[in-house]
Parts: sequence; structure tokens; C-alpha cells
Amino acid sequence: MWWHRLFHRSEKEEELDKELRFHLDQHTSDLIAQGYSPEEARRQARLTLGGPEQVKEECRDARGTRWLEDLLQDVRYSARVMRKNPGFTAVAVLTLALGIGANAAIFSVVNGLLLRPLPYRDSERLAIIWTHSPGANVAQDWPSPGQFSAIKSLAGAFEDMALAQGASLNLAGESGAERVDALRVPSNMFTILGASPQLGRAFLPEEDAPGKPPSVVLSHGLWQRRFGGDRGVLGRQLTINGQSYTVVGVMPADFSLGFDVMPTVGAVQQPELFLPLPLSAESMRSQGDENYNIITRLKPGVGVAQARAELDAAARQLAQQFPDTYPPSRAFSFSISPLLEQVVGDVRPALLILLGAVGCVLLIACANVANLLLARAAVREREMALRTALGAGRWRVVRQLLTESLALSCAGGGLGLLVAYWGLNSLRALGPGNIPRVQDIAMDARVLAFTFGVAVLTGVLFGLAPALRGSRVNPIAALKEGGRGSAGGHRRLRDALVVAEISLSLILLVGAGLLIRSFARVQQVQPGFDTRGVVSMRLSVAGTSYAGERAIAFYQQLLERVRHLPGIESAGATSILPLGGGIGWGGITIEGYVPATGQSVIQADQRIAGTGYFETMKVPLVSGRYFDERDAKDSTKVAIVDEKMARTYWPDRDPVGKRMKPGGADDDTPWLTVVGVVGNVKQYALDADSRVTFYTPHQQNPSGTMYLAARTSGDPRGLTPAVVKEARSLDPNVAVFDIKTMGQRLSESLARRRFAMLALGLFALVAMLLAAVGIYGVMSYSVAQRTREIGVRVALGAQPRDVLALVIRQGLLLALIGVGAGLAGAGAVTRVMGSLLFGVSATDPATFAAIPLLLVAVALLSCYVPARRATKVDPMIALRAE
Amino acid sequence: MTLTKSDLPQGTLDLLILKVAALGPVHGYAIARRLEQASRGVVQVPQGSLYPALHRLENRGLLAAEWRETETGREAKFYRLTRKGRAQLETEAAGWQRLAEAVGLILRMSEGGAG
Repeated sequence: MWWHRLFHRSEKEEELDKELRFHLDQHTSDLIAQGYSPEEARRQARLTLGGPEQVKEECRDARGTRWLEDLLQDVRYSARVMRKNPGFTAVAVLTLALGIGANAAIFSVVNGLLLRPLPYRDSERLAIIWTHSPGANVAQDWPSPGQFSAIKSLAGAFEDMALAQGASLNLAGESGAERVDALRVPSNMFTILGASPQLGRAFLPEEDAPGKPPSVVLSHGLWQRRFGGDRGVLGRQLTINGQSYTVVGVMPADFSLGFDVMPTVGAVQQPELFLPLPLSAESMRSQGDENYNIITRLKPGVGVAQARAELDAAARQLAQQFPDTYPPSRAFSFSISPLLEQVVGDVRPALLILLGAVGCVLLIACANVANLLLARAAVREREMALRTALGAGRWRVVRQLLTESLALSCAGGGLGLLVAYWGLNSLRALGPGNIPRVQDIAMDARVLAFTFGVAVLTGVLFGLAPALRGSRVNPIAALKEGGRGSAGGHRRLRDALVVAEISLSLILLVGAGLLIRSFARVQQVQPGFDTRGVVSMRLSVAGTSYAGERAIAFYQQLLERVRHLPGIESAGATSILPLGGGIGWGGITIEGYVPATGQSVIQADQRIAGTGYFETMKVPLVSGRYFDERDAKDSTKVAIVDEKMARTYWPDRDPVGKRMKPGGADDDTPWLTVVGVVGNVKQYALDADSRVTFYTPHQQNPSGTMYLAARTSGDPRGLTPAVVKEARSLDPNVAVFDIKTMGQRLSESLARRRFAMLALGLFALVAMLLAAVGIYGVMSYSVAQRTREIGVRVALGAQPRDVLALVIRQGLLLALIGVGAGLAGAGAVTRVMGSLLFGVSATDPATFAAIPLLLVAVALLSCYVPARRATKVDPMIALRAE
Repeated sequence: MTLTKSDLPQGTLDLLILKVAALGPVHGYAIARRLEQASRGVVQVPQGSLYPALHRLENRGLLAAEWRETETGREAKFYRLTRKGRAQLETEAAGWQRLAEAVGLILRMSEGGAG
């Protein structure tokens, strides 16, 4: 068997030797018998047989396992070469480890986010449905049960669909109330996802209608935390928002339905409770209750295009049935978003850009190692010539050199896996907190295969040219004493490699520069309030004991106490904090204002503000007054609007005294009188525009769940425990959560942008350093090659500064060509970054001017040491060395 | 006429080796001697190509080898024909016969038509 021949190679070698020796001995004795002398006989026998080594070679060829034996031999030799040049090996392997490791790390992220399927049955067929009403200034909105029913009635492309609603609820417990994320779902939700409870059951179809005793399904995490994994949990009671629920099931540990998969109106991050969604027949017809998510499973074989067509038909049907709700001016439509797209769609551009960037870093690393190999090839010419003279074909030599390159790249790849592992851990620790699917990022089999593939490709890439060059030797010329070799001929290739490195690093640096400028611009955006020194937290008092005034009273008492704490300057409450991640908007009507394009309502952000809120947040007052004691429960209903609303709808007048109301003109909501205008506040993010906003006083709009903001004179974090204590002393059951300073919220809102900037900046820096090393290497080598020429020049009277200029000129030329090519490339490539930029164009002149200067400076710096060395050349020694 | 390495095509050498091995287990040197004797000195196998051929045939399973003692008491590697080798020998020998006859026919052709 062929593997037998492989593994018993030494045995086979001995046998072959024995066989040939036997033959020689037999022939020799025969010749002696014919009358030859022993020495003559032996000589004749040897001549007739031919060179024993050659015979053995041919026998080995005949064995058929030649290629594998050669490979093993090459690998052993490569290992020896690597050991004998530890410095070279270390530099090459480290450079490659950096490049390959970075690629492996980013690919792990790409794999986890974009390539791995979501953890639901046949997740490619799942999708989320949104609505759009651009004519009413609503870019994207959550659907309503009425819209859901319209789609369901068409029953073509969709196998099944379900509504869902998120809610943040108070879960009672021994140590006080806990705020828990929950999801209200119908009975078919888990079926659609292909998940089933590990204990008990999901909801029954009867529970989709009102009137059944409330049941609840727990998440695995909550089950462990609250009940210690007790398998007898079924049938136990839980008090949620003051009501009693029966536990009927527990979901498995690997099930999750978080915000990145299904973003609910209530912005629940990770639901731990699942409640039924009982909707009456009347609710199912409501068009305006647009606060639900729709998740759907497409029928097998149905494409997104077909689904879209069906959704368009549903929209048309709604317009026909309810022409007042869906006038043509509203431009109402549905859209469908495949689930994966929904989860990772907005990080995909940044991720792909980072992947391209690490690819560039790897190319630069390859160029450096190729240059190293080319330099060494010149040194090893005699060795290669010897091999050729001994009978190795050119292809054999190339194969051996390539094996050495692959050995280097695989060693670099192995070390690179360590780099990637460490890199991913850092990413998890330091990265923005809101990476979707972060739990799916891991170094799995596909990542390992990718790393191996990249290592092999890299080895071939940087090894091929040096191997081809190194094997092309003229044995006679090279083996002569003092043979100079063809080292000079490599020069153009090495220069080209360095120019390529400079171009690539320029592109990366420009990209990073643009992101840095964007980030700086975003940070300069005024949020509309003072973010320094404010601590904020969310509180919730729930249950029937807190209906109406009791909630207001609670907050009023709490705020009074907090204001009197030492170190607190002011305090106030609001329903939704800016940059807090909350959402609250709806339609309003402004008295006397007819919307120009025939829309029925205007969309506005709605907020509740307690007395003292604006003063605490230092939102400036433009006109009128802030809320105060005059705005009590039974007084005139009032509102404060922001500057954007004032300018848009009361352009040349003072809105104070004018009226507006939530909802449509005919809705049963009270008219609000405007009493003040405040400055615009960035509600969602510094780089996003807010809608027009209006505020109503807490006394007139009692809500049990409010954010408390307190301005401190010292460190806001230090005063947090005191505030929490006050809250708990008023009511031990109040839920206090989401405790952060406004500074933290601001920083978190910038987290993704900051991370992209840091990542790209890091890669650009590494690229620049590698390019600098590359320039240094090439210039050093060039100086060494030109030692004789420099010696001649110095002997002929050249000054040190002339020699310096000579070397620097050469380096500068390379740098300028590289920068030129890089600028052209950058101009083309940065177009791709459009979505990541803010306040800078993709061809920002300042960046495009500054980066080349930086790179040229770095290049000159790298040339400096070799240039200095050149000035120290002693002409006597240089000329004599030949 | 001594046939040099380039004159004796590879397939022919294999065929001759198989034939010699068909007559009984034999070691490499003996095969070379036998071929020289049987062809009355015409075929002198360049011994450098003999052993590669033997190993190749062993590879393909046409010959089986084992180490045995010769009459003089030394150990040598003896090759014998396998069943597969015997079948191959018959096929190739028949083919060679046909070729030799055909070549002979053409060579005996006289001017003006077939002989």
C-alpha cells in the first residue's frame, strides 16, 4: 500500500541500498571470474550500473509517493532554515501574524453577524413588516392591528404572521419590585419562530381573545434567577404590575427575541416574560393603534418580491376601505424586511469597510515579507545554484522556496489565531454595547478554515515572486568566487512593492481621517441641554394603588426630598429622556393650521415634563414660561412647544396663547394652550434630526413611569445612592433602574461611531507603521547595494550632505509616487463610506491634503537612518571590498 | 548492436522483465544476465533502468517481491509474477506478436504490390 511505502521509508531506503549492493557484488564476482582484477572488476560493475544515487532517485520516483516525500523533506528543510535565521523568521512571522490575525478577527465578526443564520427554524423565511407614510412626514412606523388584519386577509405569500407588543413591567418580589422586559405575543408566535417551551406550554388560541385568566411564560434566565430552576414552577403565581399571573411555561436557554431582532415601541431589550396578547375583534380593526410589530414567515419558495406585491395589494385595499385614514396624500405603504437584514442591516456597511481595511493591512504585510524574502534570495543564490548544479529542476527549487514561504505564512497564521482571539476579547470588552448578535461572534470552524485559507493564499502571494526570482540562477556565474549575483535586478520589484504599500496606507489613513473628522463634528453638535453633572434614573410605580394623583404625589414628594439633598442643585422628571433610547410620538392638530399637503395630522414627539425639569436640564426658554404650580390638574390644559414647532407652524407669530391638541381635530382629546417655547433638544442622537416636540405638565398627564434627572454640583455618580435611598424610603416597592449620568448616555449614543473610528484608525496606524518599516528596509538594502557607488562619489569629493540628498531623493521619489497613486485610489474608495460620514464630504480637501503630508513626513523619517548610514561609508573600505 | 536506453522503449523492457519472471522467482541481477543470454547478446539492458522498472512493476502489483537466501548464502530480493502480472504478460505478448507480424508484412512488401 502506498502509505506503507511512505511510513517505512527508511526501511525501503535500506532495502534499495542492499539490493543495489548485491547487484554490484554479483557483477563484480562474475567479472573477477572472467579474469578481471578485483579493482577493475568493481570499477566496471559500477560503470555499468550507473551512478547509484541516480538509480536510487529513479527508483524513488517509481515508488509513486514522491511528491509527498518531497513535501516532507521541504518542510523539514524549511524548519531548519527558519531556525537558522531567528531574527528574520521572527520579524516575518510577527508581521504575518498581525495581518492574518486581524483578518481572522474581523471575519469572525462578519461570520457571526452576516453569515450565520439566526437561531430560529428556517430563519431565512422570517421577516418583519413596517409601514411608511412619507406624505404625513412619517418615514417609518409600527403597524396597527387593523393593518395586520388587512394583510392577513389576502393570505397568499405568508404562511403565518403574528403581532407582538413590548412592555416594561414591574415584577413584584421579596426584595422589592424589579423592572422586567416583557413581550406580549399571540399563541402562534413560538410556532412561527420554531421554538417550543422546555417546560409546560405556550399560549393557547383561546388566550388570543380577552377574558381568559392571565398566564405567563418565563425566559430561561428569569426562571433560574427567580425560581432557581425549580421544575415545579408551573402553576405558581407572579404579580406583574399589580396583577396576578399564572406560570404556564418556561422557554429554553438558547431562545431569545430581543430588540435587535424585533424592535418594539416599548424598546424592550431582552424580554424575560412572555404574556398573551388578547385582542378583541374591535381592536383587530383599529387602524390608528400603530404600536405593534408584525413578524411573518413566508411560504416556502416565496420570494420577497412576491411578498412586496402582496403588501402593496393590502395597502390598496386599506385605502379603498378607509379613504379618510389613508388618503392618497399620505402615500401609505408597507415594507418587508428579512429578519437578518433587520438585525444587522445598519452595521453591514461599517463591517464591510473594516473587512476591506484589514485586507489592505494584510496586503501591506505581504509586501513587507516579500521584500524580506527578495533580499534574502540574493544571499542564498549560491545555495540555489548548488542545487541546480546537483540536478534539481527549476520547478523543484521553486517548490522548495514556496514551501518555505508557506511554512512562514502558516506559522504566522497559527500565531494570528492567538492575535484574533485576543482581539475578539478586546472587542467584546471595549466595543460599543449595542453590537447586534454579539453572542454569535465566535471563532468557529468556518473562521478556522478561513484563517487557514488566508494563510496559504498569503504564503503563495508573497512567496511566488521571490521563489521565481530565486530559482532563476545561472549556476556558473553564481558559483564563481565573488559572484555578484542578480540582486540589482530585484530593485524594480521591491520599489513597486513599497509604492503599493504607501498607496494602501494612504487610503486607510484618509478613511480614518474622515471618520475622525466626522466624529469631531458630531461631538460639536449642541444637544440642546447641559449634559454635564446630571444623574438620571427611571422609576416606576405601578399597580392600582398609584392611579392618577397618587403617582403625581409620589413624584412631587420625591423631587422635593431630592432637591434638599446636599450637593443637588435642581431636580425634575420627564417621561422620556433625550438620548435615553425611548420613543414617544404621535399625531397632533394645530388650531387654525391646515396642513399644506392634505395630511390629516402632524407627527410630533410628545413628552411629559414635571415642574423644574427644563430648569434642571438647562433647556433655554425662548418665549413665554416654564411649567409651574399654575398648571394643576384642574387648571387650563397647557403645553410647551419647542422652537422647531414654533418656527414651522407659527412662523411670524408668538405661539404663546395659541392652541393645539394630540390626535385629530375630531378626536376626543383636550385642546392645549401653549404657554412657552423652549429650545430644540436632540431626542434620539446627536447626528439625527428630531421631530417637532411638545411637552405637557406631569400634573395634567399623570404617568407612573418617569425619568428623574438631578443636577449635582459635584460628581453626579457619587450622589446616586442618596437619590435611590429617598425613592425607596417613600415606597420600598418602587422600581428604580436605568441609572446613568447624562454624560454616559451621551457617550453611549456615540458608541458605534466612536468604535468604527477607533477600529479604522488602528488599522490605518498599523498599515502606516508597516509601510514605514517597508521603506526603511528597502532604503537600507539599496544603500548596502550602492556602497561601492557611494564610495566612489565620496572619493571624488562628494560631501555628506550630497550623499544624504542622494538617498533621500530616492526615498522621496518612491513616497511621492505612492502618495499619488494612493490619492487616486482614496478618491474612488471613500465614496463607499458615505453613510458613516457626518459633516464632511467623501473628498474632504483638508483630509486629502493633510494625510499625504503626514505620510511623506513618515517616509522621510524612515529614510533618515539609512541615509545617515550612507554618509558614514568609508570610501577606502567600500572600494576595497570588491 | 547494443541497444541503448533510448532505443528500448519503456513498455518493452517491462514486457521482457515479466517474461523472465514468469519462469520463476528471480533477483534483479539474474534478470539482466538472463535477458543478455537469451537474446544472444543483442539485448544488454542498461542496468540503470532495470531497477526503476522493477520497482514500478512492483508498485503496480504485477510483480511480488520477497527477500530470500541465494545458493551462495547471501540475501537478495527475489521477484515473482503475480496473477495480475501473468494476465498482463499474456495481453502484451499477444499484442507484441501482432505488431511484429504486421511490421514483418510491411517490410516484405515488394515494389508493385503486396507480397
